[in-house]
Amino acid sequence: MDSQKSISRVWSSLSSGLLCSAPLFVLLGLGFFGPLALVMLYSVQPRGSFSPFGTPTLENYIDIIEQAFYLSFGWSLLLAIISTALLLIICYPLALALKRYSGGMADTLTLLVVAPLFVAENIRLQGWVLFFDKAGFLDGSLNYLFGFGPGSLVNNVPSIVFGMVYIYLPFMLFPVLLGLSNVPTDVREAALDLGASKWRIFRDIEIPLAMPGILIGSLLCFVISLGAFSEAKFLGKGVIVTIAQDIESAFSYGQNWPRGSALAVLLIILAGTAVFFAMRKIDLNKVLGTR
Amino acid sequence: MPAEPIMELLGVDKYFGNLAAVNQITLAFEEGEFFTLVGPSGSGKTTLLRMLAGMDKPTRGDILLRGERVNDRPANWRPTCMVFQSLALFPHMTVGGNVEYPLKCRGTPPSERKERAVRCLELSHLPISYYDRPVTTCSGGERQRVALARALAFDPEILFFDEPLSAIDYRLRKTLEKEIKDIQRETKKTFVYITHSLEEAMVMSDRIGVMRDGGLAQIGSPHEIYSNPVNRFVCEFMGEVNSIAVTRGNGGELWCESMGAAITPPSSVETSFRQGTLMIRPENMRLVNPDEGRSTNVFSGELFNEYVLGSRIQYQIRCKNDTFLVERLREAGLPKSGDQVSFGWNPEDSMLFPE
Amino acid sequence: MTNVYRNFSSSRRDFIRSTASLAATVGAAGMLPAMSARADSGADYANDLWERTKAELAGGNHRMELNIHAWEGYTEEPVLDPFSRQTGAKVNPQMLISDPAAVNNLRGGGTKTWDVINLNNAWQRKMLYPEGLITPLDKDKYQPLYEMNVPGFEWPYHWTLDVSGNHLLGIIQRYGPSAMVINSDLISADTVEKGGYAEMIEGAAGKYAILDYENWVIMHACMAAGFTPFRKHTDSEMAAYKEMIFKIFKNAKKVSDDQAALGRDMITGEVVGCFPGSVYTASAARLEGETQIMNVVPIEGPEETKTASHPNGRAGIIWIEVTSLVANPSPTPLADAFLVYCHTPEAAYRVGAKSPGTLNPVVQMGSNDCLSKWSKDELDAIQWGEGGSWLGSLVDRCIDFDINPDYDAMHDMYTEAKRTRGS
Repeated sequence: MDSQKSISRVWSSLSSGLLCSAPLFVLLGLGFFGPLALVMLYSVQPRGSFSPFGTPTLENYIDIIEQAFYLSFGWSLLLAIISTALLLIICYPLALALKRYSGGMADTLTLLVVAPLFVAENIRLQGWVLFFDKAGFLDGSLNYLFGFGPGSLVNNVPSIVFGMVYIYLPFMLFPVLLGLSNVPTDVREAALDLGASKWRIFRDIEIPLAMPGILIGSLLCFVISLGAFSEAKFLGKGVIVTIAQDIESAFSYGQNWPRGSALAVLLIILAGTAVFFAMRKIDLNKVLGTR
Repeated sequence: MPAEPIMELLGVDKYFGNLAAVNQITLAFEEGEFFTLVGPSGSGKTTLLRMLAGMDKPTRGDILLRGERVNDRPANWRPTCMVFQSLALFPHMTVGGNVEYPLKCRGTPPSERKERAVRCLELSHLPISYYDRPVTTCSGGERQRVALARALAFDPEILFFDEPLSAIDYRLRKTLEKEIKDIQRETKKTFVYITHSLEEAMVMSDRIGVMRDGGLAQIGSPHEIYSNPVNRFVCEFMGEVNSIAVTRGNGGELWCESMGAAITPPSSVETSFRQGTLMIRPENMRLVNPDEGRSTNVFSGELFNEYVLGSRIQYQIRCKNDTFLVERLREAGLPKSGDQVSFGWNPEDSMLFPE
Repeated sequence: MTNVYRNFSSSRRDFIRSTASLAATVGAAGMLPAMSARADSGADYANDLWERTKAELAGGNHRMELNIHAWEGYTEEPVLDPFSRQTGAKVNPQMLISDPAAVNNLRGGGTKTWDVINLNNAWQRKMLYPEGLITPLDKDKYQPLYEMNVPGFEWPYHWTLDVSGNHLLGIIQRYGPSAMVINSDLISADTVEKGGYAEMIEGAAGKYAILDYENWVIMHACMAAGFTPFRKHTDSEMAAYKEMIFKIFKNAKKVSDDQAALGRDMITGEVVGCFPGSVYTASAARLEGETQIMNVVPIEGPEETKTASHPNGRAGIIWIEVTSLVANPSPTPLADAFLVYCHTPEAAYRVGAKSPGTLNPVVQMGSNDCLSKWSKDELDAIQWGEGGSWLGSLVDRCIDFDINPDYDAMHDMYTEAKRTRGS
């Protein structure tokens, strides 16, 4: 009798839990796994089909191999790695400064970093184009003042990297800041007190403790950089093509959903691999302070 | 106690803006002593300790280590080590990693490191099996011991403690107090300890410095400070005390306005004051049998409250507008709440502080 | 994605047109110089019709909201405000993102929402009408309005008729020739027109930009390779196209779908011209006084475009927009009234000259009442020329664009050429 009662109690608590989480499951199913499955299905449809339920084929993947798409993947990967590395180098000291000068100065800095987020990405990039272009703000001003200018500084790969670093800065800065908040001041002082040099403290204490934030920031930046295309479009002006541009073209001008889907699947696999390896190193509980 | 001070402070000030957190402190620590700085929170203890450890610089004055000025020497270049209030263990390391860290910084070879770490763990009563444990899996008391072992592994000339036991429960705190004292005796190192707990200070210290508002109110042995406080602040800080406002008559006699009675002062008393406070510790108060026939400093009042303090008992007695604390051993036949009692004290047990 | 509409606005100049119509157009546009404005019976009729329409509206009991799905220009205040003021209607415009998206929108139940749809030509004839998504106009009412049109757009105009020729499917207004745009200070217009696409692709290698409206790049690459895009191609033609599209990308200095930015680049001399380009690519810069920026169309076209009336053939491609009534289950007479309104000389002028960022000729400029509203600078911006002769000569060198049956394969080569241009 007793055991029966407890079983029914367990069941009722279980089902109420299921009931409560049901909306989340439905949302995840519809909003995440649904589209993902759809993209997978489309990616194995023959060219020009607008239904995901035809006879599966691998022709899109074969086309992708044959038509030099490795170039776009390569550029996207390279740009993502370079901009993530640069973002780390830039954001780490910035986060340290923000953490150290809490109060007015930090608030101003944070505001400066956050404010551009309220302006559309493309408008900001266009602004930089107008700044760096031939007869743009920089070239024009220098010409006016000194009689010579650098000409056009866009239309090249470094300008794309610049745009990516600029656009994704907040996505690195705030996770790193979160990571650094996992480094208590007194722990750093304790290391100093025990005879550690500044470099040792950085290497032995700061980096390991801030690592979850650093990894999350890097991962975030890496994955969104992989999908970047506005920077290549506006600042690069066709000097290279990123994989996201290829996907966009396949879905719009190409009217080739299966091709676009196959490219998207490959991109998801690439990003997913990075996430998989990084997540193995992150203890989320630690990051969220629930340790 | 050896004559040569290991560390000296000469007129040390520390200002934060216009606020003097530490104000004109001159002090010397003797080699091998256990010195405790006590004081209420905000009295400047931690600020002072941080300057000693090298984490802050004094605004004015000098800090000498074996006679050498070390004001500007950073913490990692001082042969001192601190146990933080938060312990500040390295959460991403094992117990062994924490304890060995100072040795690693110094470039000690791994085998030697481990050997020494194990010895320090033993010294702080941690099982060797803890060596490979992540420090985050340790309990509060175990973490205390890890922090202590880590500081010992550094082998400092002076060990600083910044209220490390404040977050520990009473029983464990008692144990650890004794252990810290034992380690100090065993290692013969100079310990400088900060606490706001008088009890801790009394149990462990060779000498105590009482701090107030950034300055040192009194330095002395626990006994000296307890029985001969230099002022009312120290007296009150060192324990519960009965205080009576008194006026000095022309003939040298004391008059207590609130009780409307003359009071006999202790024999050695300054003569140049009009007003002051007479202070008597509760354990120096006595219940007086009316048959005793004594009349000096004997008053009567209503016993209205009693607290049992283990082997002792404390009474609250209301006499006119004043309330007195009287403490004595617990035994049979004692008065109870509601009784009218007589109480008094030996004039030599009272302390008089002129205003 | 600020650029998304600009980017997609090219796909409106999109595929689909019966090859049969080609010959008809070629024939119709044959009389080149007669492009001067006519006596204004058409404009008078338009004004009268508009007054009558307003009077009819005033008495009626109908829905006072009008929902317009259209390309930029039809969705802006200069065009919509006077209409709202005169009819009391509340107009809700939504800008088109692409022709196919709009068609799919209508198919997916958008007919309940929209009253007026403005798209590129072929869609109405090929899809919207056969699928019952648009309703025909009153032929008798609209036919006299064709009096206003410039030569080449006379009644009966096949793009606005259904296949049977019995039903009128919409009105025509904006149009434009497309080939290349250059800064004539840096590269001679005469040389380019005589030398053809090669004068840009090879003669100005490393100094021109690609205006990256993808389907237009493909179409003009075909023309540059010596054949029209709007028919099935042989293997050797596909190979020639592939070689051409790779060369076009390899030789380009930059690639952008931002025609405003390219306009700037041509003015600063960053590039000497862009491939491809239309009057709308040059008009904004020209209005600013930068009249050295201009649309040019090569004189000599592919062999297959050569006819008796056009012995040199045609090297450019012309686009035209058609505006239709959506088959809304609960229609409002405001929709038909809006189409009438667009024909009034003032409204037609505003559609052509007051669209943000670009000016385009409208067919109603054949009417003196409409034409006279254009300032000299505005006319110069759209390369009108004496009596419309300049624009007329450009249009005369163009074939109508249509479906490209090899578009998929060509688009693959296009994207590959774009990817590999840097390596």
